[in-house]
Amino acid sequence: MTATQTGTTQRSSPELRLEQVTAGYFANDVVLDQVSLRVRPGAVTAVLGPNGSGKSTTLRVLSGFLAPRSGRVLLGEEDITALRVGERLHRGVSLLPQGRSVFPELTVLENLRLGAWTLRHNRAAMNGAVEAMLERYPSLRAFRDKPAGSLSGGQARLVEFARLLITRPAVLLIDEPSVGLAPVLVDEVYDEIIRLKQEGRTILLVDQNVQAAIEIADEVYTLAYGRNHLEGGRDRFEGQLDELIRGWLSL
Amino acid sequence: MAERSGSPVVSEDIALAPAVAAASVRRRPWWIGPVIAAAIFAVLGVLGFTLALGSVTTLIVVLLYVTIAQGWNLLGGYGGYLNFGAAVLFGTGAYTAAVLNSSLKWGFFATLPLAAAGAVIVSLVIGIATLRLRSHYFAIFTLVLTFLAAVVVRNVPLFGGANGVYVAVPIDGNNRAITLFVFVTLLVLAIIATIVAWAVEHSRFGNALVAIKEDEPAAQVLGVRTTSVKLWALVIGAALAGAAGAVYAFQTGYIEPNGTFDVSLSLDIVLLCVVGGLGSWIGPLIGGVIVVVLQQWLRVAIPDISLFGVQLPAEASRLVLGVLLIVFALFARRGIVGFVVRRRGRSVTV
Amino acid sequence: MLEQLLQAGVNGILLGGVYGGFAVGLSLILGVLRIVNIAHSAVLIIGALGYWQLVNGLGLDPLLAIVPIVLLGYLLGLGVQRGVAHYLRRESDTTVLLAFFGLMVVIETIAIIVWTTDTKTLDLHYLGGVLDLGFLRVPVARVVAAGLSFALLVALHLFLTRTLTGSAIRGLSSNRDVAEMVGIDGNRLSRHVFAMSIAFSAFGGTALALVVPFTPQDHLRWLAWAFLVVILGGLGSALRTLVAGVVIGVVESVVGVLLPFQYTYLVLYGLLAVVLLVRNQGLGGLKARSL
Repeated sequence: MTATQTGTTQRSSPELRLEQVTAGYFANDVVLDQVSLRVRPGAVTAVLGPNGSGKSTTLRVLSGFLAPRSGRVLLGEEDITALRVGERLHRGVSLLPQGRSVFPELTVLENLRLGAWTLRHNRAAMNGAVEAMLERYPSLRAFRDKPAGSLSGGQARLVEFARLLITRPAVLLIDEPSVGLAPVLVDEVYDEIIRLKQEGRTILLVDQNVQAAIEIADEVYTLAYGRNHLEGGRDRFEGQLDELIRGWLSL
Repeated sequence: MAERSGSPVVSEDIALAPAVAAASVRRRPWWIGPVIAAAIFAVLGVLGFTLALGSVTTLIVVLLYVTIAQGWNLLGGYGGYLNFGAAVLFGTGAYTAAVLNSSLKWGFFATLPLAAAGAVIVSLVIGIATLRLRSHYFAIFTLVLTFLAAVVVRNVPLFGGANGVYVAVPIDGNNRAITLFVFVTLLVLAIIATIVAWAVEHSRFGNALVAIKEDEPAAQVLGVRTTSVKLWALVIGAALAGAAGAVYAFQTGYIEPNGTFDVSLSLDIVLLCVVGGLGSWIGPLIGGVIVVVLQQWLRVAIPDISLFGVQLPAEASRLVLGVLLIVFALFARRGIVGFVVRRRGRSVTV
Repeated sequence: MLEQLLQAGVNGILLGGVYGGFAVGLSLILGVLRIVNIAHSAVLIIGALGYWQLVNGLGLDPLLAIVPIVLLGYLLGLGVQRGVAHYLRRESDTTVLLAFFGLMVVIETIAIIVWTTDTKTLDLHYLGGVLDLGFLRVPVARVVAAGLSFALLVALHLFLTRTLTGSAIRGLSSNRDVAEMVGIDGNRLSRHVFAMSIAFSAFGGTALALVVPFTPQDHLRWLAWAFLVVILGGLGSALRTLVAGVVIGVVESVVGVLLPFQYTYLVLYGLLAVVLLVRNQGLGGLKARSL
């Protein structure tokens, strides 16, 4: 895999930061309370925590689906708090949501082309991007004309990865990538995330699979009740899994 | 808010909990509503015996509408399934009574229950076909049924075709006696309908309806028999509408398809429930009085108004009603009752 | 008898094309935007009346007059969506239904006030006359209306399946969040789909006017037909809408030959009830609305 195929831009990836973000869904509820975190380039930052701790909400705020009540979202030096989802995608922030996110009635190829929607004004660029994804994941070629809803879990996940990367985003937000996949595929998914890290991208990983996440993470944050709980490098958490989980159960 | 445990064994009580919680947080003493309703009926009763015949006819329309609307409100206001074809059930009752009377010479009190039954049967056919689906399909289907009903009646000789059916007067006596007879009958019917509505609102059945409106899939999952509840609400509404139709047939003495299966009636019923207050037992009562009075006023006032030198046509009153519906639907969903009673308690979604 | 049936069959296919044409507006708005537009037939009839006004009133060419009606429909759709969307966006389905019911009444009443309840027959100009093929006789206007409807539906199908914007529309209706995630501006796209739906409905009105006499009072029966086509054909495919329309047209025409005329309504409504019963999935479960 040569450097020109890494898919990142020539500049190094920016850093993504949440600064004292408070956010919630309905009028009065607080799901995130003054949460801060820093996602560094060329590294995997994992966000862990028990159910209801605010992990998914963190991703929603970072991707632009949920506006925070206070606090900022920073991409490099730029304050992107006010930017909507599409605009963040333009800045190179791409989300891989939880569960199945392919468009089931559309073919794989259509799914990919829609993933490159932001490139639509330059057909050559769009076609190139689609081709690049087919190169990166050659098995996609075999079922490019099948409706995405008819794919198996692993195949759909591949399409989702391709769609995630098709605009060559520098920042990846990944939500529970291994849920619902057969164990052998789970390994492949995490291998792919490591590969993406090696390409220099900025990666935030939210995961229930604490063991796998800690194994590939460089930085770990944990949340509890919507607040920052623990943080540190992988070495701090390695070997302390049991304690960590026990800690959550007692919260 | 009700706490939900992770227990897989969940009873219907939990499904109905939000509605119960909402209902029980009202701060007003329980008897205010019934007292107001009784007062309204008392006033109507007195007016019926004291006003001139023309005005009594208006009161008759009010009572007619209240009866139908109370029934409609069960499925529509509480349950959230809008029946845009109230005229179909009403018309079925009217035609059942009329045909029984003109063909078999049955009297008023004999045809009344059968008219209600006829409407119930028709409603069951409609309900079984559409109530298992989402509310949108029910709404459209009932709306387009009005047209079919008129066509069926027009083409079946038994129903008099386009010529309509004549109905013999219900009692002997002069005009005033007949009108008062009809008035009293309708007063009784309207009171019964309102009591039924009050009873439903304060029962598990009513809570089930509200649960369906708030979150039907959740209610289903938690054990509420949604299809059966909806059907019952429809049936009760149909019985009331059918009975009202029978009275209408005897009051006018002559019914024909266009006037009986008129979308305007459906519009009026929907409007008055919205204006009065969907999902409240006293809403249709208040709405009925207001909307009918408004209609009468419009009918009288519009010919005298000219806009930009052009005389407003009679249909302008319908235009006003349509706009009123849009305005209330968007800005005053809970109707007049909603202004007065602030509901507490948020809906809980699963 | 065979001749009659053949004639009915052809009539039915042509009529069915027209039915598909005026149902597709409803299919779009229901399928993509999840809006139950019960004012659909009111829009149809206004389209027909406007068209009638242009052709009968101003003497315009019946083929050319279709264009301004469709354009007006599109512009009106854009305007209405822009004005109304943020009121309706977070409202419950009941509220939307009620508001559209009120809208239906308002549109219908305005139509009656302006154009009265007299039955209107379009002045066909050079489209009058009948194609006489010996064993078949077909009114020219009907062929034109059906031909235009067929063409429009095929064009819509190609648009939805072969273009990127068409894929975006299908994606939007499939999963709005994911569509937003890839950068599709859901609001803007919804606005244009809404406008398209109104434009199609307006076209449906012109096709209707070309084929039958009409009156504003009677528009609900067209809603019933459109609804039937949409239920039968399912949402999300212009071709299936076309096929459903043709099926209904043929059933109506053939039944009309075999049974006295009034029974066709009963048969079709019965068909509607049966299809509703059979499709008790509620048509693939309408998900959250996009306005």
